[in-house]
Amino acid sequence: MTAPGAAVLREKLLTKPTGGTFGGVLRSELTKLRSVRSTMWTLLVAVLFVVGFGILIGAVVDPNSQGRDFDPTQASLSGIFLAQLATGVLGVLVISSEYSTGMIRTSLAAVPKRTVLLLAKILMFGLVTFVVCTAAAFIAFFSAQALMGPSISAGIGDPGVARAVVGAGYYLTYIGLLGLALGTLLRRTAGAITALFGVIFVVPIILNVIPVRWINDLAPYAPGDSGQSVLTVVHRTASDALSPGVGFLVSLAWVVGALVLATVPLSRRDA
Amino acid sequence: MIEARGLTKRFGSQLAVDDLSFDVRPGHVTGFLGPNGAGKSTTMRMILGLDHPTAGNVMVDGKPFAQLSHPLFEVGALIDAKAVHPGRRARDHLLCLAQSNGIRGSRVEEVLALVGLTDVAKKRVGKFSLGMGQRLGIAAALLGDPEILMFDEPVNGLDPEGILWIRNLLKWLAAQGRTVFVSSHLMSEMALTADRLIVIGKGRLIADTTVSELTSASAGASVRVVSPRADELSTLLGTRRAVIARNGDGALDVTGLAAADIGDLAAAHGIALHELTPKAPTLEEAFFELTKDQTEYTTGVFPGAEGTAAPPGPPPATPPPGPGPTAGATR
Repeated sequence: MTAPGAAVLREKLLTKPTGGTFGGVLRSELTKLRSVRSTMWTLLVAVLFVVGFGILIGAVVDPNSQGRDFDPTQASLSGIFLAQLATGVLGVLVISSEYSTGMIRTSLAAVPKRTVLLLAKILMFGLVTFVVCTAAAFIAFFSAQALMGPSISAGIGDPGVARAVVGAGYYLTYIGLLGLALGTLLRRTAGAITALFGVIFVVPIILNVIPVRWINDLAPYAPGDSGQSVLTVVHRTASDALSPGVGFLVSLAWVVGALVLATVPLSRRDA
Repeated sequence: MIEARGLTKRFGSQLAVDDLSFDVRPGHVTGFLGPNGAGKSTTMRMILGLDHPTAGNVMVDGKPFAQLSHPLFEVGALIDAKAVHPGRRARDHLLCLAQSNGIRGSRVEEVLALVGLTDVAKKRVGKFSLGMGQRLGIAAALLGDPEILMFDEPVNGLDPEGILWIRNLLKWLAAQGRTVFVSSHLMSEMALTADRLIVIGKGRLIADTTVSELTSASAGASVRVVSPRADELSTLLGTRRAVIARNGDGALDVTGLAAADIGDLAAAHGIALHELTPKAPTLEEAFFELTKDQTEYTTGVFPGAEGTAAPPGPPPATPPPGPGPTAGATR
């Protein structure tokens, strides 16, 4: 048995860094993201959907049969409707896979402040998804416009076009962050994915199907529709969609609200 | 130093940890002993801030764990070797933990070498055997070169070689002056590795003691006496309120008197002794004695297999044990 105090004989191998740890926690979350295959696959799928659909639509669109309502920018970005499945799932997995594998206990033993851990996940996942998806959106836009031909295509310098292309990256990140919030709240992959796509796909149907005018009027404010309106360049006359600016603010309120809501039980519950 | 004060955890109607107070001091391997379901893991999870206590608190170096700025430098914990993402390579697993506490990347290679996982650092941890997973968990615990190390059932499921490796590691870490806190339901394992013992049952503290105190203070401690005048001696001992059992070979098993007292008594009456052997019960026996009433799930006796549910205990002459006589017990 060694006498207490023998610690002084041991040479410390490491010196504790001074200052905060948040930069380190961010780097740690980037390592977590890039070191599992599901991240790479889901992001690749998202890119393929965005770019592939852009090319497909650019190739098949008939320039002579498009009316004044045709939005060449939005059309070239239609891949987001499929890609959102990938980024939504990835957003859920960023946190739910930690719970399902037990990694969360190891993570919290290294970063015990739970809101700090969640904030690092939000920022790192959001940044990576936004950069990748925005890049994919630009590729989709330019390839589609080139294929459509000059008579109907949009230029990146036209009013609202660049905003819409960046908006596609925003929308996919937004869906991912909603998934991250739901994954944090529910902790279960399947439950969170079901809830996420229920909110995006089913809520608008319900709002439109109820024969009450003021309920129908709420539909554009739903999480999915409000986020999608960021991609609009040519406003359809018959559409009651929100303007891109309002849509952006409403969707931002949804995602910030969901993430704030998710932090409350995160700190209170046992991990 | 880990200090628990009145630590209590209730899950619904079940009291998992009940008003637990103890200290874990540096320079020792402190064993955390109790039957399955006694609340050992829950207590360790509360130390790490994973579970929130219903009442009471636990401090790590004077602070709640959640307030440590770089926890890996203070506490290294192996709570569950499976608490990893199976799709991540061993090196990346350690790297993400190191980065979160600002630990230099080269330290990852050092701990990989220390636990002997360098060759499989690029393997995804889902493909690891139990022993390799355990080593990875220990590597993670050692990343920050912490003063306090906490291991929950580290030898569970390991092969003999792995068990030996863990034993030596624990002793080596404590010899460096670190605080080593290790839980087990295996008394024999604790007898080999631990110096101090914290024994709990049904979430309550049963004993806070050392291994040697626990075995010597146990009600099972007896002295084997062989004498040509055994009958005479037996009568004499009876007057001293010792409990005597006669063995088949004519030897006496004396409980309630120290070997020295028996020897003095025999000498005073001119009785020759051929053998005088204090028999300390094994830690295992002492432990069962302590936790008899505390086991969460009592098993039935298998028909026709008398004594299967209970371990081979001390002779029937043992006075009824209580948690009372244990030296150093705080309750």
